[in-house]
Amino acid sequence: MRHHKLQHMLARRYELNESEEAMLRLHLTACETCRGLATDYLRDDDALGALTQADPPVTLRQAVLAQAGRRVAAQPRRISPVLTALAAAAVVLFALGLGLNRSGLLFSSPEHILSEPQAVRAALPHTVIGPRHELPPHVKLTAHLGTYAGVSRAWFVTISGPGVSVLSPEALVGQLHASEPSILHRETAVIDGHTGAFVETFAVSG
Amino acid sequence: MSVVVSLEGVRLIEAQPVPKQQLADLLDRIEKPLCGYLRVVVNDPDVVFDCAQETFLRAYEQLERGRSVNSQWVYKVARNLAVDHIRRRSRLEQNRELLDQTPARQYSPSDRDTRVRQTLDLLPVAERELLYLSIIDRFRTEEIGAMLGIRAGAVRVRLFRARERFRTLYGSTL
Repeated sequence: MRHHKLQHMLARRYELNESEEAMLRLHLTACETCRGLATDYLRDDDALGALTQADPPVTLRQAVLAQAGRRVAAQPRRISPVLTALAAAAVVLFALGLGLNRSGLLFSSPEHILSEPQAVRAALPHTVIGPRHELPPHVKLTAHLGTYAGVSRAWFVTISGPGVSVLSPEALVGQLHASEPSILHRETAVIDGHTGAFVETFAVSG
Repeated sequence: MSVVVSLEGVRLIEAQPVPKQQLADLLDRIEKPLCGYLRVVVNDPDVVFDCAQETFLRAYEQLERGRSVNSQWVYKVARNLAVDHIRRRSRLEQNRELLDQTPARQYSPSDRDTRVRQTLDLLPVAERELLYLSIIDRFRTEEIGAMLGIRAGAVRVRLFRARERFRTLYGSTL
């Protein structure tokens, strides 16, 4: 390899692979000019590397975190034309589906669906509450997080508030799995302002 | 005949960090190197603060829209903000003799820091940032090329030139 190409490699030595590094080392044993250059570059790397030791402005982090929510809230969210078109298509399809359903062609008859809270409570030993959007504002949903096999999971959940019982999700999920539930709805929830999670609504055949 | 029971339950299946947590993680990871980079490029603590803050807020907006943010994206945004600032400053300097700013006074660095910064000040901004991104932040030449919008081959040539210029100038201060 030509001398100047090896000098270019010396300038980016930090990213060389093993064979390139070996080639360079071989050249350095024979070339005094490049040895001098390598020594200078090490000196420069050391001097430049010391610059990173300065800390960032102390208030930067606080300022960023304090303003983050506010600025996004203040800005109207831009909706892409594609999403607008998809939403319009969804409305048309929904209206079409509603018409078909009324004519009895699409969905099963509503008489076979028992969605009363009493039916839900009777099905499980634990108190079950409705979807999140139906929760009164004073109810608090708390997730305790743990990591298992490298995946972060909510392993225990409490739902608390005046007049609200505690929900044990393990028991609930176990029963749902046994009944092969189908997921009807999925949404993202924010818990304690820090952690998001998927909240699902199930239908159980039985 | 089977009866369908609509059961509304709540199950938390997988924790996903919300944007604010992602932003905090991003700050943990690259706040310090990003500020170091901006200091090398713009040489003014107030501008470093403004550019870094604006960069992280834009990152937060991205995260809020469900888009991913990596360090290359952050550097690219910070760089654009810094370049805008430099352009504005250049226009100001043409009209008025402003900005008598010596980073040695503002940051109270060591003697070596002073020499390094003074040497960097003698280099064009493009070479300064190239040295920072490669030698300090250890971005690969392909990654730098993607950030700066040039090919990796061009980055390697420019990096060699920048290193040579720095080597000569810094060596003369010793």
